Amino acid sequence: MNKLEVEFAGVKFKNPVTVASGTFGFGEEYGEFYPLSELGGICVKGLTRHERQGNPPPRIAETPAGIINSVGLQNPGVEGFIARYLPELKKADTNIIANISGNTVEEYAEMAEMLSEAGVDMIEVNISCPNVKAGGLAFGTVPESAAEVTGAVKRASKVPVMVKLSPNVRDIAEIARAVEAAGADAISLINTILAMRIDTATRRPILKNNTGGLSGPAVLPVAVRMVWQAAAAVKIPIMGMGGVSCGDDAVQMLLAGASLVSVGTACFADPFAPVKVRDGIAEYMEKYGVSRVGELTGAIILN
Amino acid sequence: KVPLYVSLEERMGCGVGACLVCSVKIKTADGWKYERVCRDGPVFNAEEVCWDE
Repeated sequence: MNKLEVEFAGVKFKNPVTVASGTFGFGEEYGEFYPLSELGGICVKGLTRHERQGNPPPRIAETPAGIINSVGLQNPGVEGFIARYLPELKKADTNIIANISGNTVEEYAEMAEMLSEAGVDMIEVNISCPNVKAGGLAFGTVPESAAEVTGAVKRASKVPVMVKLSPNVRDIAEIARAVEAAGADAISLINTILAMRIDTATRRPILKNNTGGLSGPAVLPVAVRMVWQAAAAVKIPIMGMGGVSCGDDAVQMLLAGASLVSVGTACFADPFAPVKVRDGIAEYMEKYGVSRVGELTGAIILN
Repeated sequence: KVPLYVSLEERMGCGVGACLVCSVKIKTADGWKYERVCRDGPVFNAEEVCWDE
């Protein structure tokens, strides 16, 4: 599968398909379906400095073409991850991308240092989670704070730093430029779109948290558009995600400007979705005579 | 007193224990923690479930 190899921010990926943070845990559950080595990489569940319980349930609501979630970053904390999950993950032949969310800039930097020391392949900086009160989305909505977090993490990390952007902003290109200028090695987008569903019988939102983040097929066209806008604004490589369910969705992301793609919500309906996306990309390349997947990045032909 | 076990239901996502949306509060020695209805349950000892939530 050499034709699927990608070098991304200095890290070698055997194929361009990763799984999205929050949808795959730490690989333990889906690892029972197929070896994690099938994947280019795994973006692990978002980590915080200390263990978090997360939001009260219900944490998920169905929508016509996707889901809204309000998990609230339930996770074992950085130390819990390093002690209990990282050792097993290291045995799997796949890139480990540690996703981090901090309450303060200092916390982000501290986590980046701890995790890069512990041997993850890349840090993904979450400045886009809509489900926690402090930190997360708050940092990612204005270029200045996005840049500040990026700079601090970059100084603290021994491994490449990828910043995960929120779609809930006025101008995604502006944020992308700010984090690139602050030293980001790559960006990933999109995170979930702020959303709500109301149960009309009770007149209450389905989610206990009232609002949550929308993901799944409904967001794909928004994500493709934002990847395209971000790609026009920065030179650093892009991991595209948001509603990718099949090879064709992934190829859209690549054409729009992504070098890697991430599959998340699709795993819920089909645990094998990431593998099928990978194989779908390979089929497209076979059909159109593309010899290296990198040729597709940014190859959109505008009208 | 008769032991009571309950089969719980909570809105789910992945159904295999990865996404954590189907969490339910379960009592522990020093408080409580969330467990997954899909994987750690769905059957739980009724005495361990935090019913007030």
